[in-house]
Amino acid sequence: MTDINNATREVFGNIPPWMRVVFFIMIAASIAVLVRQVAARVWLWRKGQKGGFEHSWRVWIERLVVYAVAQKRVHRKSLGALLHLLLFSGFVVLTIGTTLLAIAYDGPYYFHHGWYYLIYELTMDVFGVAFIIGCLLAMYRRAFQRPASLGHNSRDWWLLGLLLSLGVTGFLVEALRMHYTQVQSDVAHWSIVGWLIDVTLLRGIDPGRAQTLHLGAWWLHAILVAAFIATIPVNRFLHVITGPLNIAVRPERPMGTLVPLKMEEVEQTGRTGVHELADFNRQQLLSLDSCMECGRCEDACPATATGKPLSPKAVVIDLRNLMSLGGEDVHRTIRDETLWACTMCQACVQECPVLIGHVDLISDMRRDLIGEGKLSGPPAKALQQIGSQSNPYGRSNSERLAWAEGLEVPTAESNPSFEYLLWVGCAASFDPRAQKVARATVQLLKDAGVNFAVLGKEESCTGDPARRIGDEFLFQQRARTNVETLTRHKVKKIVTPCPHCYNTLKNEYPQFGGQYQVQHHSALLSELVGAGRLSNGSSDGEPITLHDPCYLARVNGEVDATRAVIGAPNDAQYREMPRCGKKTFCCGAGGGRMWFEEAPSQRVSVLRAQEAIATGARTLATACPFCLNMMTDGMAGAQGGENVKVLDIAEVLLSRRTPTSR
Amino acid sequence: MAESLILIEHDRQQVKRPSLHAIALARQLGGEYALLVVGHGLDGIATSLVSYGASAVVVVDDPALAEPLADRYAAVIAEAARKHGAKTILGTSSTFSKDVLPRAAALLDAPMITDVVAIEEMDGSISYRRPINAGSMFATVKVEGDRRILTVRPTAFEPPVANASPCEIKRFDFDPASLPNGMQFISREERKSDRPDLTEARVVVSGGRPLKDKETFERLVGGLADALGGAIGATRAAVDAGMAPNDYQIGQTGKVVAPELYIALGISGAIQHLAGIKDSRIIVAINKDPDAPIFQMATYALVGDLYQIVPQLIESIRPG
Repeated sequence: MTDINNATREVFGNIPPWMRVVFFIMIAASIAVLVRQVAARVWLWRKGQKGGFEHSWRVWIERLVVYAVAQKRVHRKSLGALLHLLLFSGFVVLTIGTTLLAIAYDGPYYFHHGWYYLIYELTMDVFGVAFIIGCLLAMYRRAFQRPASLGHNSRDWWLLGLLLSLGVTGFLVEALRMHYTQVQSDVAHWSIVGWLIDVTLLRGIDPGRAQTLHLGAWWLHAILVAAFIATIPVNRFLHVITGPLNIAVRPERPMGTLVPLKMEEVEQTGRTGVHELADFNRQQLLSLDSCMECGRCEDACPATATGKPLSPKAVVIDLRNLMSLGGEDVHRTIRDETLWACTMCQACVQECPVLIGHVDLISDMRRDLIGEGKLSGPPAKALQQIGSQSNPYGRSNSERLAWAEGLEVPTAESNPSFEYLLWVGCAASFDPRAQKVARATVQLLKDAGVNFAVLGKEESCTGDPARRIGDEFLFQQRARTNVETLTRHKVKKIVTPCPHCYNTLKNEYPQFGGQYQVQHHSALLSELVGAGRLSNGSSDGEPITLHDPCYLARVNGEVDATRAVIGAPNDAQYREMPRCGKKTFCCGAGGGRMWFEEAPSQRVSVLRAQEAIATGARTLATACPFCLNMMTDGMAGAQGGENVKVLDIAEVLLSRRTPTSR
Repeated sequence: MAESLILIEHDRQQVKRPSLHAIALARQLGGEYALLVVGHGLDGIATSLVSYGASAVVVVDDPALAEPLADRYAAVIAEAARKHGAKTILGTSSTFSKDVLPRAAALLDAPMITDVVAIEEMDGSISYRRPINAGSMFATVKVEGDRRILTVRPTAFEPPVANASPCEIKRFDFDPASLPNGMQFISREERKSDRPDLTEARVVVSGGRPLKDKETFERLVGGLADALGGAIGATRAAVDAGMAPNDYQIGQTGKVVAPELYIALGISGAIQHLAGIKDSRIIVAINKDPDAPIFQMATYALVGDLYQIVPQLIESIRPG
C-alpha cells in the first residue's frame, strides 16, 4: 500500500523549462486574442443607446443561478438538452479543474496531493467522459437528426471536432503520463479512464517511448487548447461569455410589458423606435451576440410554423451580421413583412435560454415603420379608428352598451359604489360573437351577487393593439385618457374578459400612474365557484379541451383559473392539447395580426384548430375574444372543425348552471 | 415638348374615366401636357381625347402592345417620356399603373410618388401630399432630380371638361423588335357582368361558406341578386373556398359596402365581415343557426335553411 497522503502527480514533469515558457507564451497569446476579439464586440455594443441594463446585483445573481448554472431554459426532453448538459458540465468542471491545477502549481501551497488529489482525478475523468459523450451526441444530432431550426454550417463541425479532440488528447496525455511514471495501481484506479487506456492500449509499451509520446500528445493538447481559446469569439462558443452576461443584465420587466417611448426624447431625437442599429440600446446589442443559434425560438414561433417570412432566430442573426459588418439601416436586413408577421405571443422569448427579448427588438423596429408611415390597409385603418372612434372596429362609441340590451347592467354612474369595474373591452362590446361572452359574464356576476359596474360610453380601447403594432403615440394617448377616467371613478378592482385588456391594464398602465387590482374574468369566476357563490354543475359528458390565451397563460402565468371555471380538474372528459398551459400556441390574432390579411395556407388558427380537433374534443373552450374569433374561423377552415363548438369559459360555466342556482 | 405626360387607361373600347382626373393636376403643375395612350387599335380612343386641352394625344399603337404586359408598356412609356422631354409622368392610382409605372420609373432612373392628392409650393419648389397610415395622416414629400413619376388619387381631383379645340394626334413610332420579351401573354379572363358594381349597388346579396360550391353560389346568391337587380358579395370563407372571385370579398380585408339593402345568406357574422357592412341601411340575414352573431346586427332575421328559402324568394320576386 502506498501512503495516500503521498498520492499526487507531476505537473509539467516531462516538459523541459524552455518548453514551459513557450507554452505559457502561447496560452497568453490565445487569451490576448480572445480578449481583443471580445473587446471588439463590446466596442460594437457601445454604439447603442445608453441604458437598458438591469442594475440590481440580487437579480443578476438570482438569474445566473437559475438560467446560467441550473440552465432552466435548456432543460427539456430532447437530445439537444441532454448533450448540452453533458458538454456544459464537462466544460465547466474541466475548466475549474485546470484552473485549480494552475493554482496548485504556481501558488504558495501545494495542495494537489492525498485524498484531494484522488477525488480530483476521479472527478476530472468522469466529467471528461461526459464531455466526450456530449460531443459525440452533438455530432450524431448534426449528422442524422439534422433539425432544421438548429442551422447547419461547416464551422459547427470544426468546433465539435476541436472539442472532441481536446477531450481525447486530454485522456491520452493522462494515460501516457501514468504509463511512464508507473503509478501504483491503487492510486491509478482513481484516474479511471487513464488507467483503462494504460492497461489496454499502452500495455507492453516501453516507458521511455511512452515518455516521448507523452511530450508529443501534450503539445497537441496544448495547441488545441490555445486554438480553442483564440476562436471562441468567432463561433457558437461565444455564448459561454455573452450568454451569462445577457442573462444577468437583461432588464427585469413583466413579459407583457413594452418599454414606453419618452415623448421628450422623441422630441429631442426625432426618432421613434429603431431605424439604425445604434438606436437599439446596449443591452439589446449585447443580446444579439449572446445567441448561440439553438433554434428553440424558431421551433416555438407560430409565424415560422405557418410559413410566414419571420423566424425570431433569423431576426437576431441578421441583426448581428449587420452589426458585424458595420451596417446601420436595420430595414436593409429585416424586411417589413417579417416585422409585421409577428403575433407577439412571446413564445420565442419564453424559450430563449439566454433571455433574448425578440419581441422588444421587433416592437422597436415596428415603431420605426409606423413613424415612417409604412403601414397600410386594414391594420392601419384599425389604428385610425382607435384614434377617431376609441375602438378598432370603427363603430360609434355611443353604441358601446348595445350588447347589454335587456340585461340592466349597472354603470359607474348608476352604481357609483361598485366594488368591481367590469372592463368589457372593444371586442366584447362590438363583436356580436364576443358580445355573448359579455352577456354571459354579466349574468354570472349577477347570479353570484357581485357588486359591479361598467363604464359604458366612457370606456375606450386600452391601446393594446396600437402599442403592439407600434403606434406608441396612440397607445399613450389612450392610456392617459383611460387612467384619467378610471381615477375619476375611483376604480380599485377591475375584472375583464379580455386577456389583452387585462395585460395592458395590469402591466402597462402602471407606467402611466394607473395602479389597480386587475383580474381576468377567469380568476374572479373561479373564486366565485370556489366560494360556492356559483355552481359549475356537471359537464354534459362531452369531451372538452381548452385553448390557453397567450396573454393570460404564457405572459401572465395564469393557467389554473380557466381550468377551474370549466371544471377540468374533476372532468374525466377533459382533454389537454399537446401545447397547453404556459406553453400554449398562439391563435394568430396577437400583435395586431387580428387586422392583417392572411393567405389561407398561412393561418395560425387552422393549425391550432387541427390540434384541438385531434384531442377528440367536441367543445373548445377559450378565454379571450380574439382567440374565440380566430378559433371559430380556424375550425371553419379545418377538417372536422364543424363538429367542434368554440365557447368562452364564461359561456361554458353559464350553460352548466344547475337550475337551483338561478 | 410637353412638361407633363399623362398615361390614359382604357378598356380597349373606351377611356377609363378616372385616369382623366390627372389632367387637373397637370394643369396645376403648369406648362403643356400631352396625353399618352398605349395599346392596339386605338383610333376611336385617341379621337375621344382631343378636346381636353392637351398639346397632343400621343398614340403608341402596335399589335405587340395589344395586351398590357408591364415590361413592354414600361419600355414604351419611358421611351415616349424621353422623346417628349416630359418632366412629370402622371398616371392614376390603379392596379394597372402599380404594375407598369414603377418599372418605367426604374428605366428612367426617376423617383416615383404614389397616391398624390395635392401639390404645394414650398421654398420655390413643388412638394406633393400623399396619405399614409390608411389615410390618417398626410406626408408632404419632395423629390430630387428633374424628372418624376406620379400616380394620382382620382377622387382628389376634378374630372376635366372636354371643351378645348381639338389637338393633334401624334403617332409615336418605335421598333417593335426592341421591346423586352420577359413576359408572355397566356390568356385573358374578363368577367362580363350586367350586375352593378359592388361598392355602388343599392342592393347587395352576399353568401358565406354554406353555399358549398361555385355553381350553388351563382344559382342562389346570383339568382337572388339578379331578381333584385343587385350586386354579389361574399365572405372571406366563401372566397377562400373558391366559390366566388377575390374582388367579391366584403369585410375587413375586402370591400366596404353601404347599400340600402344587404342580404346575408348563410353568413354567421364574424366581426371581420361585419366591418364591411356596418353602414348598410337594412340588413337581412338568413341563417340556419338561431345563435348566429349576425342576427344581432340584422334588421330582419330569418332562421331557416337557405336552400329552401332562397329559391322561394327568387320565385316570388321574379316578375311573371
